[in-house]
Amino acid sequence: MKLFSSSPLFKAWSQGRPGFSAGLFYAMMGIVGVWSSGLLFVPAVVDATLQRMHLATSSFPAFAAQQISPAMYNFANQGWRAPEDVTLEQWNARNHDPGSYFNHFPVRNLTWFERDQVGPAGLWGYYRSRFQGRELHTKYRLEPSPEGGWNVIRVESKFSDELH
Amino acid sequence: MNSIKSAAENPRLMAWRIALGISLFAWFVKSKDQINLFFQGPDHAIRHHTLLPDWLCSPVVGGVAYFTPVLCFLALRAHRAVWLRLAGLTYAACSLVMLWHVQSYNDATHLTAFYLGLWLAWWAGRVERTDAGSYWHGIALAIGIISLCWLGGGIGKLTSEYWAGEPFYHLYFMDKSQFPFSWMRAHLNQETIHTYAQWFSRTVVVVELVLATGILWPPRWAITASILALSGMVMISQLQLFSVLGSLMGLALAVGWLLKSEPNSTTTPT
Repeated sequence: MKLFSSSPLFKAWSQGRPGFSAGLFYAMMGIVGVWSSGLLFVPAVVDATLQRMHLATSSFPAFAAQQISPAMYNFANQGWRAPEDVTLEQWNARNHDPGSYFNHFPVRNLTWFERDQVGPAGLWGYYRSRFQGRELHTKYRLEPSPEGGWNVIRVESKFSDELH
Repeated sequence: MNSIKSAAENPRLMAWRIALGISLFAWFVKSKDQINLFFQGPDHAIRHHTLLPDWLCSPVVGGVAYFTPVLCFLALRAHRAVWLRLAGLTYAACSLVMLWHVQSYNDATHLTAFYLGLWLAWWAGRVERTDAGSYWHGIALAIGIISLCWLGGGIGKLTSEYWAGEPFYHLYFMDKSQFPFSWMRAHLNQETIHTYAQWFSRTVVVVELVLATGILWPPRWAITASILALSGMVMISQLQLFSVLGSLMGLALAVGWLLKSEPNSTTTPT
């Protein structure tokens, strides 16, 4: 108790309640902290965060809101770029290079690399993220855009229990 | 508009400058990579992503959001609260755009900078005060940000793969080309390296979760432990993580500076 009474949180609140802006700041951090902790207890938070890692969230606002939640080196993420178009089931049946780990956001191996070596046929990307037994699989297509440059299209995402 | 005493006379202003200065340095340390990625030319740019609005695929939007914080360097010489607040809000807004942009959503540099920018904007309105309330709320919010980042990092690693050391084994022990990982690969067998990776990974998870409780510790303990851990991570990553951790180091050092000048009074609201 003595330890806690010397914490900045205790000292701050013992000086009086925070003003409006500080209260908002505390509230925002509290919500983000509860959301992060929800990974341990709430399956919906796990699913939403796995989808965030694959940019497979149902809407941009939902993704945008989650982006202020710290997720450094979260989950076991793997990703591969490949020239062939196969189903997620076929891809998972193959024996992959086990070293294709990503600290977070494995989809960046399509969005965060120098694309000058990619041919006109484009590429496919296959991604897998796991957290406490829950596993999300996603397939992406990197295809030439009619305006020049590239379009990054999410083809499908499936949790492991949805794979045939 | 309020004019503030010089930083030499005002530890709160100096703390504000320390936090921003270190964070900006960290933000721009990877400029070469960012320029290469944002300006690959129209033939290599991403035009469209299934999830993101097209304006968040624009290299121009990304370039503006990345380089606008250059202006925040000017605030390091500012003495008016309005400029300090504007710099903080600008930094937070640019960080948020970077967190959403197709070329930079994956870089946690912008997440730590976002929280630092909000703290700078909030603290800007308190740098001319002398009351204990705003002083301790400023410290609590700063340490709270650091704790929140440890929490998010630690909880997401509570999975069997991290406990077995698998991601770190591949990401660091197999892929990193620098010492000590290159030395290990040259002198140790795979099984031994795997064991080291496992214990390294477990240590990281435990340390992050322990440091997440730093908001409940005496502030000197919390920032000392965080600075030691952040420095260790920066050294192990050969400065690659400095851009991400710079904002947290800036906050911790700003708190350290503030702790040298604890006020006695209890007055105005925050």
